[in-house]
Order: sequence, then structure tokens, then C-alpha cells
Amino acid sequence: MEMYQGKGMLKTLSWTESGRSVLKLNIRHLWLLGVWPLGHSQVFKVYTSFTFAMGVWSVVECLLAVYFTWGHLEETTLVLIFTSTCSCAIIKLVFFLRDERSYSLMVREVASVMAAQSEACRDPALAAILRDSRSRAFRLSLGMLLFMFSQCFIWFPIPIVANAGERRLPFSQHGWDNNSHFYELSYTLQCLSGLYMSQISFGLDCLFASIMILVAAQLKILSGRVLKLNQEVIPPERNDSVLLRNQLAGDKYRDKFYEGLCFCIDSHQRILRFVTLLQDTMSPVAMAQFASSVVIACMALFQATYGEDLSAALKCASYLPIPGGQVYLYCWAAHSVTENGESVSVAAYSCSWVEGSSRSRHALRTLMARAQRPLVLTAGRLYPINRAAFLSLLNASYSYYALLGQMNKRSMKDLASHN
Amino acid sequence: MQKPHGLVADLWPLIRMVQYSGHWMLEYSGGKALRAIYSSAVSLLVVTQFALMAVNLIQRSGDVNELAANTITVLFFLHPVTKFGYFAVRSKAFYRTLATWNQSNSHPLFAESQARFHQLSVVRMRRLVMYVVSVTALSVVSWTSITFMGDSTREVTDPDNANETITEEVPRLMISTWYPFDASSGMGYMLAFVYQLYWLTATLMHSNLMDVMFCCWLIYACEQLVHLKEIMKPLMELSATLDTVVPHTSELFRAASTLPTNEPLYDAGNGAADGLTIRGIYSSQRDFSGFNRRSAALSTVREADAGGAVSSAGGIGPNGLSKRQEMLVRSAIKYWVERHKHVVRFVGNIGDAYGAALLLHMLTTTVTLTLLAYQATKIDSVDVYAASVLGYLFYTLGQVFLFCVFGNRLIEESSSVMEAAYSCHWYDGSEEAKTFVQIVCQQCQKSLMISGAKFFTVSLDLFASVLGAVVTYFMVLVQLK
Repeated sequence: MEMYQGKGMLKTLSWTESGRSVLKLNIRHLWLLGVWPLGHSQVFKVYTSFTFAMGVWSVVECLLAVYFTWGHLEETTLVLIFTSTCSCAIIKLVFFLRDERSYSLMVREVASVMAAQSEACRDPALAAILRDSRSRAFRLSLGMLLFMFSQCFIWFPIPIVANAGERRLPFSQHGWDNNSHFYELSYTLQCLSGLYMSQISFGLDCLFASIMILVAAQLKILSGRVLKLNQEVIPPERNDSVLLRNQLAGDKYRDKFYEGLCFCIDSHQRILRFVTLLQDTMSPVAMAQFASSVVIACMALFQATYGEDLSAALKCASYLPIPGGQVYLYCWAAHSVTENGESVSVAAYSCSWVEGSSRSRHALRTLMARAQRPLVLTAGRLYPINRAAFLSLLNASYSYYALLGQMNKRSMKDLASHN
Repeated sequence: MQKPHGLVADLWPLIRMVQYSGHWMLEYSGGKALRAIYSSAVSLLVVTQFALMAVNLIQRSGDVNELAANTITVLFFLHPVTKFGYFAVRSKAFYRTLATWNQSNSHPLFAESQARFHQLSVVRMRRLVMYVVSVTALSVVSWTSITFMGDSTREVTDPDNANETITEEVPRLMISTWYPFDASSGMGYMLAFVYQLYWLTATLMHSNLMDVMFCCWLIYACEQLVHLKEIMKPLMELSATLDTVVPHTSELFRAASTLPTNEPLYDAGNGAADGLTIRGIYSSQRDFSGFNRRSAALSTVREADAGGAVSSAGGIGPNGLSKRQEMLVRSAIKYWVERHKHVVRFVGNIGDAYGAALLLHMLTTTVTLTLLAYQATKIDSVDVYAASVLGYLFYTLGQVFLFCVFGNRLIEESSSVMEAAYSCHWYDGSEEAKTFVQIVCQQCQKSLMISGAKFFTVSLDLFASVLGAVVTYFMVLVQLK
């Protein structure tokens, strides 16, 4: 953050600015949900606080429901799934509101990093990488958000269809009055907050995933540029022409190599600076997501396998891919950033440095040394986000699930012995 | 039809076997259409038997013991089937990897060392192919013979009384399968037996040949790295002459020439057997044998220069070397770097071609080994059951061990390139040589490795963790019993 201060870059994003960005879809989506303020509008602040209040109310409602159903493992876990989703979204929202400026900065920086390398993207192969990454980020965000939205059609109507006449609420039941008061209002409110919270949570994940995809593509383009350095020079021929070239024209073409390398290093530095910013902004959000995903996954798995209520089992089975997908999104995208960062070093080694001047070789070596240090993004500065982290989270989730299964068995046994 | 060259020529027996086994390898020989027909026939046979096995698995899923045994068999044969399909889909990547060494640079000073290590790798690859093929043949034979031992019955629920079980005769076939015809006797039995024998051989060959090809690539990469390490030292000494006047240049060159050379490996014995195919490859390269020839080459260059020193553009430089000698040394460094880059690229290609197959392999193997650990707890005496469970266990572990060993060797060889670069006399070398060593050391900080679609790296650590997991699981099951 500090390095960007005083550049006038720490301003709120405006509506027109968001339209020009590559991340238009993600930004506008978050704007629609009342998260991302575009411009300075008082009405929007009211809207944001409404969203926030709705989320807080859902969490409180859920906690009350948990209190009233305590001891019934099956019902409690079902409520906890929703609680965890909501509180995760609330935490993310809080972090967003705190770091709103650095989110805007991030959007601007993505644009500037991409602009810095756009010159090089005249090459058709590199242009293809850029185009591919943009369309992939867009498709991924759109697909994931629509998939999340499709969950609404499973969760919202089930209480009306499956438990008609029982006055059930979609997420948490009001144990204190058996859903007798304000049934319609509570139903609408729960649906609305469910929609908002899940979309906010997923929208932020998609934003980060898109940014990481774009950064990975930028690193890939950089590798391509480094690899192509000096390629226009004719390969050394045998005989004396080489000698002549070395003596006369040598300095000129070698300096060209050095210049090209310097441009590449400049782009590399920009990308690295951006990754630091991304890391600072993303780390708490990713941590919140990891923690809640583990809880949600084990609860949903528990419901889907041990649950006796068929509709609940169906709901949870359909919901299972969501927490897994959210975590995988982070892990996969961050892993590809790391991987492409390391490939810069290999590309530097693979370019034709043997013919370069000694100063360009020194520069190359420094570039390699930096690129070899893996660009690891972390969650809460605690977990490195990579594929191994994904596997370990799955493991953690499974072991909690096994624990829940044991608890369930024990409580069943207790019930049987009482009878 | 063009003559095979590069890696394809080195692996020619293996390539032939891969083609005869029915893999979709349509390149490298004429008659593409015929080959395609053959491959499709083989694919049909392979898939049909596998599907029949799956049908059997579903039909007999009532009994837990039988379910576990059938699942192991199905998973065991899932390897060959996936590898067969994988190769058919990704054959382009395989061709690309095989074509990596079609055009590689060479240098007169190091042609001998290169030829020697190339020969060594060819010998090693062929030996490995021989071993694995014989082990495969052995396992087919033992699998077939074990079906004729012990009694061939199974217990099924009595149709009259649900609480009783009766024993039922099972046809003596290698793999329990459902057939649409009666396979218990007569023509049906003969047909089923021959079909299964063919199928067993073909599928085991399919998967093992793929693994062997992967291992051969790794062997080749390792030998190239060893070659690079060996020429590092003379290279540094050569480059030391570049910088300034070294008083005893000629002595230095003589000292370099006393380096040990393993000439017999290249000239005699093994060379004769493989000579037919090898000669074709080497004919294009100039035959320098031994470093004494190499320094001789340098000194002939020097004499020639001395002869025409006055007239030639080069002349003797300040370092006492003629321009042409200098060029020779420069090009030697370039040769080294280009060769190393080529190895790096080759390893990248290998990972692209085979990484995903390794991931699939490991996924299936993990499940199979878990089930096998469960089956192993039920062993209580030395009988057919024990032999077959142990056979499965060792075969599956052996498959994993095979590629882990070679993956590990690659990691070791590539990381020791840095040690080789550091341990030679780089401090005497020219500035150019020092930067060169620096960059090489920097690159070698990260060793070359093969990863299974980036989820794991192929090394002995992987094997140890798989083995450890199986043993732990086995212990837990024994405790629970």
C-alpha cells in the first residue's frame, strides 16, 4: 500500500472506470449486491448497510436456532451450514469495506500491468495467451456465479414443496415460537439473505480467482518475451563472418539484448509488486473462506450421508460442490501463479544468453535468482495456497466428518439405551 | 518410409513392441491404415473383456469378499485400459517427446564423450526393456498356472434355503468374468481361456510398455546430464586459457587428455550387437575418440593457424590462442549450455506427455493398495489365496517403484550438475566462464523433476509414502480384527 501512496491512485473506483476494466463483470456484480461502491453516493451507503444488517440478522437468527436445537445433531448441522456460509460472507464483507481502497487500487494495477506488456502482445502466440486468459476469467466467473444462483432453486422452494403445511423455513427454524409469527416475512428475509450472502461470498472468490488467472497469464507472457529475446539475430555462421560480426557489429546487437532484458525485468518487477498487493488484500479473505469451507463441507457431507430427511440430504448433496469448488478455485489459481512465476526462471535460462554481453548475463542471473523464489500466496499468512493445501483441507474436512459420524453413533446408542 | 533416427532409433525394439501390442502408435512405419485396423481390433477386444469383468463385478456384488476381490481385479486392469486410451488420445505429445533429440547440436571436442554416454544409455534402456518384458511374461505364466492349483469353487447362497450356502463349481479361468455363453466346459471354455490368455498378455504389456518408455526417457535424460557433468571439467580448463596468458597451456591440454575414458564400452561388446542401428546414427558425426584426440584437434588447429598466421584475419591473440582456437572454446561453452537447455526441454516434454497418466496411475493404485491391505488381513495360511494377494501386492508396488526409482535418479543427477560446476577450477577461468558457472548454478538450484500433473513429484519419497500408508492401514486393520 505504502508504495502507491501519493500517486493519487487510492481513490474510489467510478462507474465509467469499472466499465473499462477487465474485471467489469466481477465489479458490477459486487456493486449490484451493495458491496462495491462505484462513485460517492449516500444512497449506496444505505444499501450497503441494509445488506450488512441482513447478514447480521441471519447469523443471529441461526445462532438462536442452534441454541434451540442443541442436542439434535442432525438439525444443528443443517443450521450450521447456513450459519457458516453467512458468517463467512459477513467477514468477507467487513474486510472488503475496510480495504476498499486497495481493492480499487488492485483493479487499476491489473490494468496497468496488462498495459505495460500490451506492446509485446503483438506476437500472435502471446496475444493468444492474453485473449485466452481474459475469456477464461470471464467464463469462470459467470459460470460459477450462475451455478451458485442455481442453488437457490433447490434450497428456497423445498420447504413449501416437501414439507407443505408444516410451516418450515428454508434455513433456520424459529424454535422459540414454532414459526408462528411473521412466517411470510421471515421466509422472504431468509431467502433474500441467503441469496445475497452466498453471492457476495462467491463473488469475492471469483474476483480473486479472475485476478490470479490474469496475473498468471501475465507471467506466462513475460516468459514468452524472455524466451524470444534476441531471436531476431541471425544464428552464428561458421568461418570468419562470425569473427567479423563479433568485432564490428557485436556491441550493437548485444546491447539490444540487454535493453530487451531490462524491459522484461521492469515488467517482472511490476508483476511482483502487484502480487504483494494481491497477497495483502486476499490473505484474510482466503483464510475466512478456508475455515468456513472446511466446516461447511464436513457438515454437508454428514447431512448427505447420515441424514434421514431426504430433502435435506438432497439439498446438502447438491451444495457439496460449492465449498469444495471455492477452495479449489483459490488453490488452482494461486498454484498457477506460482508455477508460471517459476517458469520465468526456466525461460530466462532457455533464452540465448551465451551470446549476450557480460552485463546482460549478470542481469539475467539476478532475474533468475528472483524468479526461482516461488511466488507463494498465503491465506492469513499461515497456509500457502497451493494444490497441497487443497488436499490437506479435504483431509481436515474428512476427519471432522468422521468425528461427527462417531458423535452421531454415540448419541444413537444413548437414545437406544434410554428406551 | 524414412529411416528412424534420434530417440526413436535408440528405442526401436521398444517402439516395435508397442506397435505390435496394439497401441495406437501409427507413426514410424508404413501401412498406417493396416495399423489402424489392427489397433481398433485390439481396442475392441480389450474394452469388451473389461466391460464383461465390470458386469461380473456388478452381478456378484452381494458377497463382501467376492466384491473386494473383483474390485481389485477391475482396478488392476483399469491401469492398462486407461493407459491404452491415454496413449491413443495424447499420442501427439509422445511423438513430440520422441522427436526431441532428432536435431541436437554436437561439438567436435566432446563428440566422443557424447557418443559414449549415448551408447551407455542405449544399452541401459534396452536392458530395462528386456527385464520388464520378461517380468511381464513371467507374471502371465504364473497367473495362468495358479488358476490350475487349489480347488476352483465358490460359495453361493442356496436358492432353496436362504440361510445355507452351497459350493458351486467355477470354470478354471484367470479372471472371473461373465460371458454370454457357457464357459464352464467344451468349446466355450476353450474360447474363453484363449481369449483371457491373450487379453492378460496384451493388457499387461500395454501398461508396462508405456511405463518402460517413460523410464527409458528418464534414463536418456540422466545419461545426458552425466555427460554434461563429465565435460564440465575440461571445459573449464579450456576456458581458463581464454582469459590471459596461461604459462603452460600445452601442459594443461595434455593433462586434460589423461582423463579416464571407458573406450571398451563404446567399441567392443555391446556395440557389436546394436551396431546395425547405431552405426546409422553416428555416421553423421565426426568420430573423435578420447580426449587425446580432442587436444590433438586443438593443436592441429593451432598449427594450421601458425602456418597462415600472417595472412589470416585472426592471428595469435594476447592470450596465446589463435582466433580459431578461441572460437572453438567459445563454441564449447555454447555447446554445453545448449545441450543442458535441451535436456531441460526434454524433461518438460516428458512431463507434458506422461504427467497426467502418472496421476491416474497413482489414483488407481492408492485405491487398489488399500483394498489389497484389507485382503491381506484375511490371509491365514500359505495357499492359492495368499499367493494371489501377495502377487497383486508386489506387482502393484513394483509398478510404482519402477518409475519412482528413475524419477529419483533424475532429481539426483540434475541437482548434482551444480556440484560438478562448482567443484571444477572455475576460479582460474575467464570472466565469461565464471558468469557461465554462476548462471548454471542458479538454474540448477531447482532440480529437474517429473510431476504427476503437478500434484506430486515422482521420487522415492513418493514410493515411501505410498508404502508407509499401506503398512499403516494394514496395521490398523489387523488391530481392529
